[in-house]
Amino acid sequence: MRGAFRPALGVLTAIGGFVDISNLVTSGVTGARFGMTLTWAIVLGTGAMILYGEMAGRLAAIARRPVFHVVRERLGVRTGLANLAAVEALSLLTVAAEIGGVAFVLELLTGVNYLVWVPVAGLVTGLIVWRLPFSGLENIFGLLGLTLIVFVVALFVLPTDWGALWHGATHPWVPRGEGHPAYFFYAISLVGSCVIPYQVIFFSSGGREEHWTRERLTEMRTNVLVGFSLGGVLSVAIMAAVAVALRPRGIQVEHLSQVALPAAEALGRVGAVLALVGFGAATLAAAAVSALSTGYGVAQYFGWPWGKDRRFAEAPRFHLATLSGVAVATAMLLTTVNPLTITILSVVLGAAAVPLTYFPLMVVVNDRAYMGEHVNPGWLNALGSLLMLAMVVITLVAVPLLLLTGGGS
Amino acid sequence: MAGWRRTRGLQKRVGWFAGVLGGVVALVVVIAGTTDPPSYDSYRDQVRQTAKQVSSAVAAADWATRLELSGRTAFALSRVVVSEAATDASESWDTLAKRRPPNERAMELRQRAVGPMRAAVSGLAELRTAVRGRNASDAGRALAALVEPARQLRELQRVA
Repeated sequence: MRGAFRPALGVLTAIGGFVDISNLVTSGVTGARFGMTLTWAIVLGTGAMILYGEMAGRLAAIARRPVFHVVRERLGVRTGLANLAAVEALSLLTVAAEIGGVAFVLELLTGVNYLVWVPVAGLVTGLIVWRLPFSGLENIFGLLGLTLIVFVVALFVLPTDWGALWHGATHPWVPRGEGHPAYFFYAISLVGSCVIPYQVIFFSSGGREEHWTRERLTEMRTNVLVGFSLGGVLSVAIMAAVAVALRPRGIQVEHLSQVALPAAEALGRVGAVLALVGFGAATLAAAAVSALSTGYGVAQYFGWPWGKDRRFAEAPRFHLATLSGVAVATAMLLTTVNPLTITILSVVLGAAAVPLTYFPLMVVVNDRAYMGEHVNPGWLNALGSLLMLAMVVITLVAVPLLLLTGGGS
Repeated sequence: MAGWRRTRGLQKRVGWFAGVLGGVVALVVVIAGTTDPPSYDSYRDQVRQTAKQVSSAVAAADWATRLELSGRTAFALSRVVVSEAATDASESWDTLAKRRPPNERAMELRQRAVGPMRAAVSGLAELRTAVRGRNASDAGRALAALVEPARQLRELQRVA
């Protein structure tokens, strides 16, 4: 299906990179606590991700080099290293959170405590990133993750008050009984669950794995638009389904399991199965995507050979870095630290670190030496700068809000 | 040379930004580290919050059990939801129970909260056993026993 529209990478990016454990949990928590009043945060996050995703993809297609390689070259070794350290730390936290998510799904399937499943989830993630070809990763998880559309269908089956949902989405006020700090903490969490620092690394590296060129810019832009928009729609659907089904019952989402209940309520056993399959695909794909991003980042920074489809002997340091990330994340979880705590921490710190990773990208895609005529147009720079300003504000308030609200509690 | 200057300038700006961020974080850590003296209001807030958490756990367990009894869930979904609800309620109550009421008024509030909270926690434990054992009649009885504590917990959330 070579041509203008081959959206597998976009769908994988939506399922594995956008809708992951952090997105599933934060959409669920916010839907239950704040109804639809935080929809704007998902729209903001999705818009930012589309904007920066397009820049990363364009860089990969035009300069034919991935983000980290160019950032180090253009901004210097030290700035590149700070960037690398931030992304690697956050990616490791994310790998741990996602492996924890996979273990949670296995618990929901079997009833056996998730901790028993952590080594299995780590092993499966390791095998996927090592053995499964990039196209397999895209097609299998992209397809399975699409079962999350069950939440969109559920909204039409449940007694949804569409007027109330729309009113909530268009009146972003703090609901009665909730405080401003918690509201803004979760707004940041939602933005952080959409705008993920490693995402541009994965997307641009994936673009190189798929050999994007300037002739395939349309395909890249389609991937960006389809992938991230689909991710945004699924996040809003999950938030809405939870707002419709859990909020009236006074249920606060504390666990991934509760997020599946609206699908079961609406569509019975089939709905429950589809939701669990979607959770499994999204968390496993995200574990693989974030693990690969740890390898991509390190290998591209140090100029080592890299590539998902390269054999171990051809890119040993890349594969070792990737598998080490999986091993460290699995070990982190075996200390019995709660994966949901890691999730919230990674999302909020990720939101705080966005300028560190996205500002260098903005600088590079404005450099004619790399981009030629494909530098950012003025309107894109204006929009990118506005979003960057919003991200800087988020950076300044994210950690204080994390501490003041006790992690949103 | 110009490129080098630009890089140095950017590094300085990143350093300045990191310094400001570090300062803000340090200030917040100091502020967050200071604690209010115990008062009725803070105790009442904790009772309300615990009532909300336990009430939420009861509602989630109730719903999941009804889905299970009507054959609308798959795999271990309901069992896990009920089990997590029982654990959450128990942990929330344990946290509140460990806190000493700061005055007479808070003590009265505690007395009011003890009954429904304990009933909810033990009811959820019974429900967990019934759902794990796939015993529909025991599950039905456990659900019925949770109705009154759930109502009292809703009232507790509105306590002045």
